[in-house]
Amino acid sequence: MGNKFILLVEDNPDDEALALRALKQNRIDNGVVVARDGAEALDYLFGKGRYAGRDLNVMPALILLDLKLPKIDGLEVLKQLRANPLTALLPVAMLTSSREQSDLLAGYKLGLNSYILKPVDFDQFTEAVRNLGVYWLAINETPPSGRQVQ
Amino acid sequence: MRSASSSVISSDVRQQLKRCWAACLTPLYKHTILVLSVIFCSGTLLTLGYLSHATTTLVQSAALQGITLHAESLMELRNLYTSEVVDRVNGHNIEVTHDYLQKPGAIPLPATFSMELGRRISLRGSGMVVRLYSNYPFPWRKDGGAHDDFEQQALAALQARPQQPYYRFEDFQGRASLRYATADVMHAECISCHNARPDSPKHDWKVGDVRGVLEIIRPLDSVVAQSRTDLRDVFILFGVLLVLGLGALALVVTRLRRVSVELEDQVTQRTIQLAAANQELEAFSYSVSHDLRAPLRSIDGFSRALLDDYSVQLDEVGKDYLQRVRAATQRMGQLIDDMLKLSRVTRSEMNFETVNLSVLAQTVADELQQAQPERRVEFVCMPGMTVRGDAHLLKIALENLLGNAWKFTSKREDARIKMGVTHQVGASVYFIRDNGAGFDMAYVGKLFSAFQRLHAMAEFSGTGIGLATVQRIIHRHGGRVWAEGELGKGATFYFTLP
Repeated sequence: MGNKFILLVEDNPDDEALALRALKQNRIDNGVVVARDGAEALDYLFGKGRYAGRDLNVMPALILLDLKLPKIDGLEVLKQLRANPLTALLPVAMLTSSREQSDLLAGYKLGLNSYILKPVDFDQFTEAVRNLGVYWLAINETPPSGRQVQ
Repeated sequence: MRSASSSVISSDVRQQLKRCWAACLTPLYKHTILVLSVIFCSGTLLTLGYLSHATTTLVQSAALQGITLHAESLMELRNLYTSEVVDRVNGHNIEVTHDYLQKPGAIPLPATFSMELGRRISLRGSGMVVRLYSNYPFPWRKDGGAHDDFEQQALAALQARPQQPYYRFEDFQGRASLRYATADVMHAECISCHNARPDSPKHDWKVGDVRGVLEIIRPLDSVVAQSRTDLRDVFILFGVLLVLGLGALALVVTRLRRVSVELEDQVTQRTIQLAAANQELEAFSYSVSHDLRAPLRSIDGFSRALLDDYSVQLDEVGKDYLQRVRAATQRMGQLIDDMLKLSRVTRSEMNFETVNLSVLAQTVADELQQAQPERRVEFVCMPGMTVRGDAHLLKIALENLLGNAWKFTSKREDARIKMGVTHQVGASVYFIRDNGAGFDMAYVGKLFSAFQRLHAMAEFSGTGIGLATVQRIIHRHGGRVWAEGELGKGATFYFTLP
């Protein structure tokens, strides 16, 4: 999988641990970057705050974004990503426990690539993460990085 | 199918008629006070018209009765005078003549006696006039013949029918009067005298001949004036009553309108409150959906992690416990999901349209069959059942009802599910019947409560939310739902959709 890696935006440490475990079980855990809230995710992607000076040519092949996040929520993060040419084309998968139609619609309207329900059953969760990893990191061709497009 | 389509047409016609009727009634409802005023006024006018007519009739019939009595008295008095006085003095040298006042010892002729009596009655000031006239007046009488049209008509009429009095209500000398004429018929005791007297105008009288006419004229103007005054009083009374009644009605209607406006305001307010409550509920279920599931995921995930990473340290009992923890967690997740579904059924917006229940039921049955292709279930559905309702919600209801029937017949080889409709007084009752596990009627009251189950989990799976969902959907349509069943023999679920 080379330098393809995932940015996991998750505030719940349990969910983070479980997601990492599921990724690890499916061997797609090389260099997972974790952001604990929406602001940190944006800092990482735009090279600000404690990520100032980060090489912005290095972008995740997939962002796993929780919907409900402290400070800046998932939909707002998505909106800002899509508004910036640097990150506009990054594949984003919403990983959430919300089954609300309104969230689903809002997400897709903002240019979401995938909406995945977090199942309670960990086995199903592992399976979902496996499918996600295989599809977005192995099967799917990632778009050229924002810098190159510019 | 044909009967179904004709019933659709007739229900269309019925709805059209209902709409027309409503369109006619709407302006009437809008102008209640005006309509009531018109009804009241016409009613009052009709009553007064009838009263006026009745009074006139009453006055006339009373006058007629009085005058008949009067005429009979006069005739009787005259007959009495003839038989008891004139006849008895006959041959006693007492002259019976018309100018008895000029001749000492003379007495008046019966006709003269009658006329004198009439004259004296007239003098009493009642305005009553008594007249005797004839086609054959005695030569000394200057006004013995018919004077006017009435008298000529009376003579002619009474000649033709002596027994039938002749009368008219007409103006006499400028006063509204009753003129009443009776025949003066020749009696046996009069004949000899009338035929014998040399001054008699006719000498061949026979018994029963009409000698002349006795007419009584009775002025009615005072009575009529009195009745008119009475009637006017009644008019005034009615008018006052009418005004009072209409005033009271206007008050009541105005009050009612005010109440309805107040009620509307209240409804608006309640609707706003309800919308707010709904919004809160939505926020609540949103957070339930999101936050309640997160810890469950942790419990399940870390249990799984324990099982995977520490299986060496755990004995079989420990592993079993962890499996139970996971099973319970997943069940809790299922319960949360079902609860959310139930709440969504309650708050989703309703879109009313014509729904073909038969087609909907068949679709659901096909889906059930697809999910479990190995099951053999005989599904029979009456065609052409159309209702007004929300297609999405009705499908959820049918999914639950048919899903239950499907589930509870799973232990039978000859599983049968039937859906149809029966028509009872004023309503169509739809039913879904199965020959599955059934239930004890003792627990029928618990059937539709959320999270209530009548079967053990090991026997049939489920969270107990399906029938609660069905009930909410049917209630939101304004219908009723109920069930009948017997353990081991199957269950029937009924519902109505107005």
